[in-house]
Amino acid sequence: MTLPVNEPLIRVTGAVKHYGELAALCGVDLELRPGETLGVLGANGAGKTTLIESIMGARRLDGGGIEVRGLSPVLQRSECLRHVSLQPQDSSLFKHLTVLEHVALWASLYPSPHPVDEIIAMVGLDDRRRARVKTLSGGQRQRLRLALALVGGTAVVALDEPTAGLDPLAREQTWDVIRWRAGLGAVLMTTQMMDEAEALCDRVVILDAGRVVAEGAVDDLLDRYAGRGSVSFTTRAVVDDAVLQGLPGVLWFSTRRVGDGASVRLVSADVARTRAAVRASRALLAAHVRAAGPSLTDVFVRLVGREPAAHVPGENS
Amino acid sequence: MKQVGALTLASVREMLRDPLVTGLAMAYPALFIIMFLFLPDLPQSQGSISALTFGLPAVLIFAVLSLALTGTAAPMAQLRRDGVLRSLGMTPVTRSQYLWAQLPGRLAVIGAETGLICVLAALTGSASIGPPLLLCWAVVLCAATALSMGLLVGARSDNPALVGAISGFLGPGLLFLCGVFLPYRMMPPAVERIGLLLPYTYIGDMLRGALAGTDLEYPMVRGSLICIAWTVVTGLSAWRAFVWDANR
Repeated sequence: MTLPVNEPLIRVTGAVKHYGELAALCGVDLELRPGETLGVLGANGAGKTTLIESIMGARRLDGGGIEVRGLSPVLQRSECLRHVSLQPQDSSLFKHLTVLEHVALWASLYPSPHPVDEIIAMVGLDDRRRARVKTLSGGQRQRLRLALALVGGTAVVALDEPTAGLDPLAREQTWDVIRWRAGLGAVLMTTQMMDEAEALCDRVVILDAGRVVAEGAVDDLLDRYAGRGSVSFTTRAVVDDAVLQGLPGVLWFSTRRVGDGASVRLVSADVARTRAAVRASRALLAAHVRAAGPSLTDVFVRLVGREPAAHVPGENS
Repeated sequence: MKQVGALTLASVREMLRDPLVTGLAMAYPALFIIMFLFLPDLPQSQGSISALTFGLPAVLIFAVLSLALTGTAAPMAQLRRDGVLRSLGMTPVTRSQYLWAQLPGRLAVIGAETGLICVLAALTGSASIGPPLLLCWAVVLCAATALSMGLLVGARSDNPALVGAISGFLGPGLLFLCGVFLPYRMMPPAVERIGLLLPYTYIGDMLRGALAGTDLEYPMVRGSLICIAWTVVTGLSAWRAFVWDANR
């Protein structure tokens, strides 16, 4: 099927999905356009994995619709999945097959695959190509899953938490691979790591409890919600909201109780003045004062009301 | 075809590298032959027959059923539990391609099992190999009925322990009902009435004819038709029931 150049590769309209009484998706709309990297951000249980697995036809929606290049992932599953491949977050692999055998198997399932050796080398598993899956570390398995998603040469690659569980170096390498892939077509990725979304995504959709709470280009969201940056600190004092709101430059703030103290985050239109005011304040008893530029974390905290988890144990919504 | 070929290769590799599947498939026939060697002769309509001669079809059918149930259905449930099938289900592979790909490797193992049984039977002097075509046809029917049933048992579940337990009862149960472990004359008449609806009654009869040279008790055409019908029904049911993910 040939579509106009700017027609979305993936179109999700009013997606609804329930697991018993739990609503995983509540009317989600989303479009993925050719050439873009779209990030779906959300905390655990926000509905990211349900959304991406519904796009792959692995979940049936209770309402709404999904089209991949005009095809239904459920009714035209096989044809549809020639256009989109997935790196699942936590699914297992054939434990008795080697890395090379896995990638060769997946390559044989798609009409226009990338060269197997090239993909194995790209994800950094060249020296483990003859190793069976059961001997690989968690990070190596994660990179193998990435290789399986890439080798198909599909128009869209979907990545579900692609760097969860990876060490910093492997994470950087994975980012490079995703950037390389983004140059070849569209990428849809879920993540709850804001720095990852900032580094890789052209546009993001923020999900909270199965609903889209914001959508847009990363720069636009930063302009709208992240001010000029943030000042964060910890304190043992009882913090009065009025004091925080009265600090110079503060646009909005969040406080979180930690033990008998609190962790405070101020998003500011003038970071330098806000930081100076925090340090000078005797009422705040601020410690560990840190200033940072505008970030998606500020956007996320502003819209969702809580900080994203620092570590991703695996969403199963 | 390229997809089925690649999946077949993966299936064969997984099977051969899993000692539980292939090891047991080969160990079963040898163990049962040893067991039958120590059993007394069994009464027949004309005289008696040695337990081993009577038991050879049971050994072969049980080995095939073990491979089809314990060696096919249970690993399939395990792959589903591990999420491997979920991953495959999110590729262009169709369920029929996946199911077809499970067969060639297992058919090869069944061929090896048959050869092993023939050799062991010849070495113990208990077999007088009859018409080779009858032996081949009986093995083909046995493999077809058993593998289609194995695919059906493993079509939906993600609980390998449950599938293993079902398989543990199903195989021996069918063989008793079909008069393969014990002749019908040693069992209540109702058992034979049930057994006449099941494929292994006729497969056992054909195998006895092929391996021990006894006369066929049942018409071969009727037996073949029942086996083919069983294969078609269970095979289509497996295809229809198959899911990549039990929690879809």
